[in-house]
Amino acid sequence: MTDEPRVKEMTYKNHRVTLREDENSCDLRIDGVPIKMARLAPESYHSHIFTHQEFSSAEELARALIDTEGTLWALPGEDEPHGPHDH
Amino acid sequence: MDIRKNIYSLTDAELNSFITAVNGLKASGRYDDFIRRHHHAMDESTTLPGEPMTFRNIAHRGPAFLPWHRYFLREFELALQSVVPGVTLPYWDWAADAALPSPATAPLWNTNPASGRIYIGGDGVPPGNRVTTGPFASWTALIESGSSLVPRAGGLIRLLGRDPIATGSPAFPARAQVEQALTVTTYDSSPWSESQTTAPSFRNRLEGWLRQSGEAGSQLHNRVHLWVGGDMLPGTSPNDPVFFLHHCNVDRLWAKWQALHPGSPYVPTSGGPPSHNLNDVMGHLTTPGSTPAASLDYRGNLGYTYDTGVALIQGRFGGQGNFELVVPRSAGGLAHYWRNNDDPAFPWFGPIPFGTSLGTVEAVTLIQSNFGSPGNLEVIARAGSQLYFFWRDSGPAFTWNGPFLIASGVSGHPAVIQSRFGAQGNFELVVPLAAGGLAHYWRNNDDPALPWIGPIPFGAGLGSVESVTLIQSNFGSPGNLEVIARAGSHLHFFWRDSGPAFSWNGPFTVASGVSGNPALVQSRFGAQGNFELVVPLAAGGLAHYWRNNDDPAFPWFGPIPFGATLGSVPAVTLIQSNFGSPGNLEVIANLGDRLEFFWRDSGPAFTWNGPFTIATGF
Repeated sequence: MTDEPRVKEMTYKNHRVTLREDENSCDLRIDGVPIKMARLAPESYHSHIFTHQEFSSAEELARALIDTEGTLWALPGEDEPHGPHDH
Repeated sequence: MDIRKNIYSLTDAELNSFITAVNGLKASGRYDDFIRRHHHAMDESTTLPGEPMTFRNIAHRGPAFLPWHRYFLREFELALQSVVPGVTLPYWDWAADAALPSPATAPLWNTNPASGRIYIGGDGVPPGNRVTTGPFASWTALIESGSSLVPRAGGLIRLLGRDPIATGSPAFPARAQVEQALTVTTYDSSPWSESQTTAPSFRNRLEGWLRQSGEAGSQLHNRVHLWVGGDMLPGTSPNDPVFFLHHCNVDRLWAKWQALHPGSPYVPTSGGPPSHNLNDVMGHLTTPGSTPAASLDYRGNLGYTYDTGVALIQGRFGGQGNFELVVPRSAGGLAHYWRNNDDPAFPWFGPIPFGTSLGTVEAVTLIQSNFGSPGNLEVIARAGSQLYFFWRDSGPAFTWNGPFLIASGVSGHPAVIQSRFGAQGNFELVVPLAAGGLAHYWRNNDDPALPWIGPIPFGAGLGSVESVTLIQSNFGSPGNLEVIARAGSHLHFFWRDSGPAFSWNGPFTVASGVSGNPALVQSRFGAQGNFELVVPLAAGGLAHYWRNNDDPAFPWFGPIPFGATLGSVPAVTLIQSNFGSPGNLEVIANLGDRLEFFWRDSGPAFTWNGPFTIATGF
């Protein structure tokens, strides 16, 4: 049985999302920046940022992170967060 | 000892003190230290070798979730007190707001002074969803950026019940879910994480990962974070002061669970993930020796407790007259106990629950009236800022009826008696007002509609009053109303003449260094009948005071301390029974997790006996 990682790349709101999953791990990068997250069970994705909830897919989690980037958290290097606030 | 209260129960002065302290901490930069520490704790994972994937950190998703936050909140509370001495952390009983058609309309979020008090500001305003109202408007938040936190100006972000990031519009946690959680008898189970397993875990249920059949997504604690939305979503959630109100309620629920399950220990004692074992020191806290073990006795080791009440009478049931006791239940509503005074063993019976629809009850007062035969039990209970009336028929059904709302805008501990005014004898009620001072209500028991009349305010000069006790004495005719009220650490005496002026006189300071609620009776000691007063001491234990009513100067004597081993006592109740001659003093103290009984003989030794535990886990 092979364990080929599934790699998916997409662009959402001008951010580049890279998802890499295999049976044991899950890796998410936004604009090349690694995001602390994990798949704890099928359809149960957890992130370091949104610590009180789970997401049904890594894509859903990535979209939530990008929707709040600049308001609830910021990619490194952004000293004065401003961003779109209307989620 | 600090007593934490429902935020809706705070007086205006107490609320202002809390807001002033929070804003003072924010201005000094010390508030932001709490955001950092919470974030850093969340950033520090802790796992066991070879265990399945978990996102557990030293403060969440594991057994130490509750102990870590207990210490974190206490450290925050002490920081508040360094700004405003005496202030305590209020709790937000969010399950009570769940009964509203829309919890976002709850008073906590009010922004219109004409509609009521302003607590913590309202919902965020689209499109940015910034909080522009209330005492914390325009705050600068700290948000995570890589390995550091950076400021974000322009106000907090809230999206009450409408944050799309929170998986649509999450429903509010319901009281039934809270009550179910409190029935779980095991504190936690392996794998000591957020994993969805069939293993019972009060911690995982209350934290919100463990779901029941029919539930989806985050529950209870987690769901409140999601419902508030915005800044309450990430690990920097202490940005919003509602974090502390929310977690104070979570801590209160854990304290209730501890009371309900005194035989259920904290686990794991060892072998669990680092920082989560019973005697592990938990990181990112400032209190030396902050272990889960040390957190369990929050009263003794951390120095706070939660507001509660207790009310005792000797009724006319039985040959001797049984003791009847009503006390708020940990699971919500009230519990009735009674002691069979015709049985030489004096057994206590109960609890008999009632009024569960009220949810959390913070204070209660009880009489036996002359309605029915031998007399109905009549109860007034305060839940939040509202007073509710219950009555229990004299039998044989012994059915509790109510709740019936009789007043709003109140606070603290009420006191009710049946007076000798009117042909039947009216009910007289005195209660602290949320706006400060006291109010007198009375029920015209000669009117078939039994209307409540009031409020008749008095004592406004005292400002914030926390508790009150009331009797009708044999001074005047048919008898003056005599009131003792606690404001801060002082007891103040008022009296109202028997008419026709019905003027309230006072305040006259009686004692200092007190806490909790006072309890007053006119005893059968002395020719006139002395006043006997029992009140918790701020330093712990109880004190007895008495007023010599045969001396024209009416001097107060005391304090005569007793029950020092109890530590802090949130609530106490006192009667003179018909045991002994002229009658023993009988006291019950509610410590939140147990009821302790004392009695004092009728003399000549006048010795206080006790404590005797009469109930736990109620």
